[in-house]
Amino acid sequence: MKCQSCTKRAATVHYTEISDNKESREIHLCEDCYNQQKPGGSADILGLISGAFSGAGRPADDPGALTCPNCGLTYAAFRQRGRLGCPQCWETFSEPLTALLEKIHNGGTRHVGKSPFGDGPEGGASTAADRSAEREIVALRRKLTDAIKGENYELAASLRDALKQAEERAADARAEARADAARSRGPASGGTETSP
Amino acid sequence: MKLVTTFEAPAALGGEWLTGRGTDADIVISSRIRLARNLRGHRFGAQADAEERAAIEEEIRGGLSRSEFAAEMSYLALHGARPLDGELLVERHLISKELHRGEGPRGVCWSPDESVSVMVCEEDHVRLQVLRSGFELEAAWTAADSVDDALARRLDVAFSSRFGYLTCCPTNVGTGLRASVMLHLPALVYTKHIEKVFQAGAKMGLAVRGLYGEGTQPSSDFFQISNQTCLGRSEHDLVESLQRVVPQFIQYERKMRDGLLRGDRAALEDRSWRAWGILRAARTISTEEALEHLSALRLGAHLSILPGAVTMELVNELFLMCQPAHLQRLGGGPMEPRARDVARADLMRRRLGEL
Repeated sequence: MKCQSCTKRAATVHYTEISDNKESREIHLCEDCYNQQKPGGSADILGLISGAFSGAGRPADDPGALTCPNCGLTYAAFRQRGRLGCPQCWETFSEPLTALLEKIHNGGTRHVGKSPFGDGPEGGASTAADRSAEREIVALRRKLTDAIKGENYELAASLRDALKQAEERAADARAEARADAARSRGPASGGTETSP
Repeated sequence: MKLVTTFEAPAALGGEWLTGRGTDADIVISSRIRLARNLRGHRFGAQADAEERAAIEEEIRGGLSRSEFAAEMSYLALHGARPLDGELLVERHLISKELHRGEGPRGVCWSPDESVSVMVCEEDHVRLQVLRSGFELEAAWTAADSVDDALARRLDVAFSSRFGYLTCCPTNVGTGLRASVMLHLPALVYTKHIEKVFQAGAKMGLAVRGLYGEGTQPSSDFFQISNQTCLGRSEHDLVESLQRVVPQFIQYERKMRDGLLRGDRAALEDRSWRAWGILRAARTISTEEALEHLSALRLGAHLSILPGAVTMELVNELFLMCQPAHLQRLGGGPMEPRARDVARADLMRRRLGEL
């Protein structure tokens, strides 16, 4: 497929543009023409980042102005270079990133796998409660994946409920921890010691 | 942990992955597991300034030196090392080109048999790798998993239950795992069936790349096959899907080799013996030409076309030693490309001529 703009090079960036009157239009551009319209680099990931907005109603829902409170990276800057600034960017940009992850990881948006929180006494600096909550969530998700794979839908349904509850509990705990941190240290959250 | 200031490459053979041992080693040169990890509370590699990178490097070096496996490991701070050392490490697959070309505080830690390496301050703070000879992905994963556990007890690793191990690039988030195998597929290339491997790989969500991984063109008959996704599936699941798919490529290559032996034996013998002749006679030879002939030698050795003294181990060793940095190390100093071509031809004549 040729680029709609220069009509010479192959189109490698594809997305759906939705106008104010809700009419959608498919856009197919080569990387050069895309970059002229939206300044950016040239790696594959950047095409994916743009592709992740397919049907998302750009630019009305554009998250470009989101800024990481820890490292100062904006989502617009991430879009240009395809690299995040710090671990906390993952929390700050979690919503737009989820759409992107779906494209990159073939539908995968949630972690199913090991966690760094073993039983050793020298674990990370997060609290024991955090560690156990995160371990529980990941373990439940793994069981759920296995249950769906084994077509055990009854078990999957109960695991899905348990997972939802565990995620809600963890989110509440995180919100509480953030509020505590804000009270004691100012607006930056996440227990980081770097400045923007 | 032994802190070293130069990389003293053994004069002869490199790491365990060059021994030619392990399952299906005639086709699978090596199996590799890579895990990407970062420290909580620090900016990622490229985004951190020199001061922060120094702190990250120190923290990880400290964690490594306190780990259970520290006693046998060596550590080289690359920001103080000679450029040739970095190139040697790249050629031995102990570090990536990106880490070698990087700036500021960074380092690498490796085991005596060079099967385990930990890159420090690459794009991600920690890139842990286990490399094994042959088709040994499960064993490589088991080893990587245990080194990773040991590090997680010493370091505050950035992790969220939603996204898993948090990485600089969204393509690595989740398990942070890249599993890959390096395959030698000369018969599929020769019979022009290699395109089907690319197509099958793409269909199964696997990436097919050249000898030195990302961003490089496939070099002669060697191909790296790896998983592309790493979020939403467990480590075991990701390793298992390669475990399931790779044997099909192995069978395909074997079938083509058998077919050639039955239908076109003379051509196959001619190719191996010509390679043998050129490598034992040439006075100057480029890396590309040497790799091409070594590939034919490797195939000839496996099919018992060539003398028994041409072993997988010897061919693998020559693959490593004929590369630019290793030739310069052997020659005792920097060499221009033309001088390297002469030195490469000398090395081949010497090692193959004595058989």
